[in-house]
Amino acid sequence: MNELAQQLFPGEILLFGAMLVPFVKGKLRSALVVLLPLLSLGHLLMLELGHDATVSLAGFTLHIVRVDALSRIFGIVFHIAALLCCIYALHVKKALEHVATLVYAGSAIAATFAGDLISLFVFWELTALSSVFLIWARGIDDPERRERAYEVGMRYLIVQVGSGVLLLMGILLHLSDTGSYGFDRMALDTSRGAPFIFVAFGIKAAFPLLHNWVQDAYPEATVSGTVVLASFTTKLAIYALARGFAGTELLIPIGAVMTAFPIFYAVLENDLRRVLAYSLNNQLGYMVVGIGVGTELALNGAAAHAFAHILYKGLLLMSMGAVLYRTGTVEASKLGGLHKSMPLTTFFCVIGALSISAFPGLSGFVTKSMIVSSVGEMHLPIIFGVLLFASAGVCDHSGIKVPFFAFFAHDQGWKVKEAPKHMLVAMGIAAVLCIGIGVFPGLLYEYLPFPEVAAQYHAYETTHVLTMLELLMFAGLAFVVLMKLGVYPPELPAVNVDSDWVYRKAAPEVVRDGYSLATYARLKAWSAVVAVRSAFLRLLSVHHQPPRGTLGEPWSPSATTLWAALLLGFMLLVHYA
Amino acid sequence: MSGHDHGNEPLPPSWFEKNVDTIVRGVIGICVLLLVGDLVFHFVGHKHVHFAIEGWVGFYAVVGFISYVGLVLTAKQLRKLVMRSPDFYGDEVASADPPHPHSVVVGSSSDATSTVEGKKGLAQSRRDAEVAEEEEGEESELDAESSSAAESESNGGSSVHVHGDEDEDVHEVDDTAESALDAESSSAAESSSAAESESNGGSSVHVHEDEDEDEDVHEVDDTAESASDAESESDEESDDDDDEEEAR
Repeated sequence: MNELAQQLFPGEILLFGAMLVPFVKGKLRSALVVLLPLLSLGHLLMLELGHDATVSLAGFTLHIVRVDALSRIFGIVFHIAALLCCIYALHVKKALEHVATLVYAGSAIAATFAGDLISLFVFWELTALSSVFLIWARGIDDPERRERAYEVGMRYLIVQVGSGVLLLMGILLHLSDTGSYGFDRMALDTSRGAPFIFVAFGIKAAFPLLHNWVQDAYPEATVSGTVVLASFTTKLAIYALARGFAGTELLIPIGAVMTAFPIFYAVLENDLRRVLAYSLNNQLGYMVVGIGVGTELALNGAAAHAFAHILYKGLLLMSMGAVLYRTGTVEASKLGGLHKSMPLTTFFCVIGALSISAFPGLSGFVTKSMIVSSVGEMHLPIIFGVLLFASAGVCDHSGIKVPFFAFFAHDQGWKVKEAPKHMLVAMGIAAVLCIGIGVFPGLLYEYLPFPEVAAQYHAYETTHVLTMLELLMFAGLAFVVLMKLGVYPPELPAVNVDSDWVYRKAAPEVVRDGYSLATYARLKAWSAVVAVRSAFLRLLSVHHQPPRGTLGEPWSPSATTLWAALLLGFMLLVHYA
Repeated sequence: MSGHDHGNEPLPPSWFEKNVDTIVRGVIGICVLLLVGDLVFHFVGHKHVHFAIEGWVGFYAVVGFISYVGLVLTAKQLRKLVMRSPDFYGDEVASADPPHPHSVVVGSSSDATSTVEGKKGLAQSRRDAEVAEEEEGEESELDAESSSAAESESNGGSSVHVHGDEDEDVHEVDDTAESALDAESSSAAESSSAAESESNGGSSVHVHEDEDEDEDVHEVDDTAESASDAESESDEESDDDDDEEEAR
């Protein structure tokens, strides 16, 4: 038994087990898809730290298994995620989704344990190829969405494979410069290939401006597909960055932008699964900052946060998936009041929301704080401030907006059944894990890359608990105030233009209409000028009517006097300055 | 698969709905307690901080509050820059959205049967929507009517639609005013580039081509304020879009 375990590579059971799925039906298939991740997890736990395995292929010696603390913690959480996803997807009748899930999870796990860049590349590509079926499956389930699902899937695939091609280029250049294809810590100037590898990882980790494939594709997958997608690819990239580029300072500002930039979109977005995709991006930012800081505490934090994140993000997406499954929509503008018909789902969603907001007692609190503390120890005040701002932001879009608009808010008259049992089971396990990690962080800390450093870290310190509670409760208070004042932006169905505009709108228009880039830029600039001009004209003319018009209001003599005085004062200043 | 109930009775209000004020007071109370706790701890305990400013009493409270308000209000302004119609990329799944439950039934004059459309109903309404769109091709005047016909068929032929012809119903029922506003704001955003209204024909409830009703709705209910906010924002959007069209 043990000997057999030594010969298999982690993930192999899932990859090959998936091939059996189409040949069994009904309960047997359900049992199989739940059993495979459990078996594979058991296999992983049998491999000891320091276990290595190599295979020879086409003249290369591939270091296909490397079990160390860093790869093990990602491996374990990937297995838990795979198990939860498989349970959550038990209602799916067609084999396609189950096979795609298992192959995708298996290849992500195998990539995590790859000790050299070539095996990493192989599994890296396999994750891309297998996961796209989770998006296309939506088009199969729902013929109305066929074209859309196909297009989204193609865009997703192009980005993913693009990342793979960059990775391959980087590997080849790296090999020719250094003579090694081992996957170890490198710096951006180690070889000509390193920057390519860095960008390849960056695409999958959703760096700013390279991020939009996440928000484009994830919400378009099936009910369970989105949960699966959100668990693996981006976290695999986080692992790869932690392995290859720990301590690369460039990652600190990149990560900080990632924490802050997507939350503005998350506030505006109406599709709640897309809100969660933006918030996923924000959470990745924390991990990227941690990897950039590169101290032992920071790397522990990044790994721990990835672990916790997979669970609470999965939980949130599962609850939204259940809503989609029951009501047919996850648009905030159409939802509300669901806590009456889906109380358990509501409860689980709130647990996920509190976890992601880093509420004391839940998983996000004990993991994110390590990253924030490490930034504090490095004395990076601006980054520290950005992370605090982003923490309040998370509290808004994931902590409040998602549960509030789906389950509370204004009762929209939905009368639906509670989520199916298997979904509740998957959500329940995830919720228990979120609480468990929050209450007993020591259990997780043992598995971190630097367990002795983690043992020294105490998340539940009075200052920390108090300040975090203050931050979150006052953010909540701000929400209450904004709602009461009626200035909280209403949920509107709309497309919010993001960086994918470049390849979804601008590039096709340039190609279709045969503009040169300069002409196109001029046209866009001109249309902006026209927009400003017409806005100004509207200010003067359309809104001129006294009751509503901006300039139509009667001016009080005191205001007029004030403005005149200000103007004269300004002229004096200009004249004598 | 999607379980839904037949019948019109809305679910009774829950504890949360009855105790909104209590909850709000609770939040305020906790906030005050935390500040007091912070103050006490400031003198009694020893704060572990990385930056001096962190040690100030209430620093995190201020940061939380200001960040949140700043974020939300900035994002709201950002809408002017980034918000476009749902069909901006030309891939909106027109009938993917189930009809807004409120706009479908509440307070209908005759025997309405279901408040929520399940998946079956949805599929039906999609087929009807297709039919409606075909008709549209021939007689564009029928646009709104045919879509509403398709809808009402799928809902058992009895629902009230927020629609020009049925203005009176809208006025009669209080609740509908709100749903009307919802539908309105959404349709305002959706039909922002005027030409697109065609593709929207079949799906959810749209209030096009009816300026009168616009005003009427404002009279009915004072929640109009928030909706008119949204409206004016999307109005601006629409103009921007038009201008873009012009420029091109």
